[in-house]
Amino acid sequence: MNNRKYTSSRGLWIARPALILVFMVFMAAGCAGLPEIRLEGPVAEFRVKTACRKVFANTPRQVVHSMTARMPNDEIYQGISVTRVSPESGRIKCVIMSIEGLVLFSGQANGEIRVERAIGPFDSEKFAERLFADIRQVFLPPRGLMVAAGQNPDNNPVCRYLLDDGGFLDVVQASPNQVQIIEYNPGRKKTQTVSVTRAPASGEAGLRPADTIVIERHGVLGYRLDLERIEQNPDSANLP
Amino acid sequence: MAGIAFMRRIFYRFGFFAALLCAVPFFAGWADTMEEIGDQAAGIRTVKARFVQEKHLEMLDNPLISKGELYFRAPDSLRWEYTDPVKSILLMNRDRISQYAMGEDGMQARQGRDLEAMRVFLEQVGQWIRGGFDKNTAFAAELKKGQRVVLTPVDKNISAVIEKIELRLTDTPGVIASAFIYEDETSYTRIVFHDTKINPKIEDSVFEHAG
Repeated sequence: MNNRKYTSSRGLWIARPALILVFMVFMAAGCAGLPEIRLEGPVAEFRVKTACRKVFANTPRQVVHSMTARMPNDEIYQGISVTRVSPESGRIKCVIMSIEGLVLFSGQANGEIRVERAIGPFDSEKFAERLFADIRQVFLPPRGLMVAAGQNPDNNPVCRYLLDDGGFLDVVQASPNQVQIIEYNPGRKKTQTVSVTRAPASGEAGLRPADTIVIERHGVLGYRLDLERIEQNPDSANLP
Repeated sequence: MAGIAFMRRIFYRFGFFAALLCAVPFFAGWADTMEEIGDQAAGIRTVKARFVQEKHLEMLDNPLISKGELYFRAPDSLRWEYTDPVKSILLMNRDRISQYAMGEDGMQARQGRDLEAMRVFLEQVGQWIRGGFDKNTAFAAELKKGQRVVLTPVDKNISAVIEKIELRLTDTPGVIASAFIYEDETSYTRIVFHDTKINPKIEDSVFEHAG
């Protein structure tokens, strides 16, 4: 049995669910902050995985959002953001402006970050990194291995990704119209929750544009961003 | 504390931009000299207008459109209100400045210390409203052919944000057709004013609260 597992790729494929199960049991036992995932067999797993993949953009799209930021000191600020994502290339472009139209930040990321315009204090490297990390998390599939797909303790379908930095990302179908993307650091502590809500409509949930996106960064320097879609332009011929 | 300073600096920059927008409609109508513009502006007691704001960006196929209304009463009362797509109101009434934003429970007031930064700029705006372009040290004003006034920032802090402002005047004193605020070669804002009324009666409450 052991020989087959390590010498045959087919054997490895067969053994993978068992390995994942063992891995998840170990993980759940050792990590209080990370909810347990209940595995429910290959058919259910396939269904959950398919739904998770639909959460993220699979074609280029451009979205304009109104943005309300609640800062750690409880100050509230408003603005408008224009975001363009290209899943194939992984390229992200973003412009943030005040309601009056002043461009506060403009830049793009495709492996490395290139800032085209930034008015201080938006000119800090840290701001750009955080911004593109948030956009990536909302729109593009996670950079990491999907290690489990099942149900969380609330009986909601969930996919768990093991991220490159050792942290985890759960994609939870919290309700028929809401998906949550929850990030945990390598210490298994919840660091960020993204709630993506779509208005009830016919058709497949994953293919409909998000109407509201709420990004909550947890911790002492946490913040909250409420994004409300003003317009979306998917599959435009002009997009890269 | 770092966060507060951070956001105050942001407001310092784009609060000024808001102040610029507020000032734009009050530049007086066509005249041959800056002095004549100043004379015409002296007759303006109140202004009421609607506006359509187009934000042009290289990455947008079509401009982002915002709509709103403004009310002004000399010397220092102003309501600059966005009605679509994002509701937001800036109120200035004598020495009080407040801003309202749409929250979970309707329009909510923001009255932070950072709003005080606006006051500095409004002093400059006040000069423009009274037609005193040449008294303003932040911008150099130039009257151009085709009923245009071009304002070029002198102040380095402003020129880092705004390349120039161009106002297109109508034949009617006190009424401006449109304003272009150029940030760089890829980004500019065009504001078109319509239904402009000079010296209409405006209730005090318009400048006092968001409702």
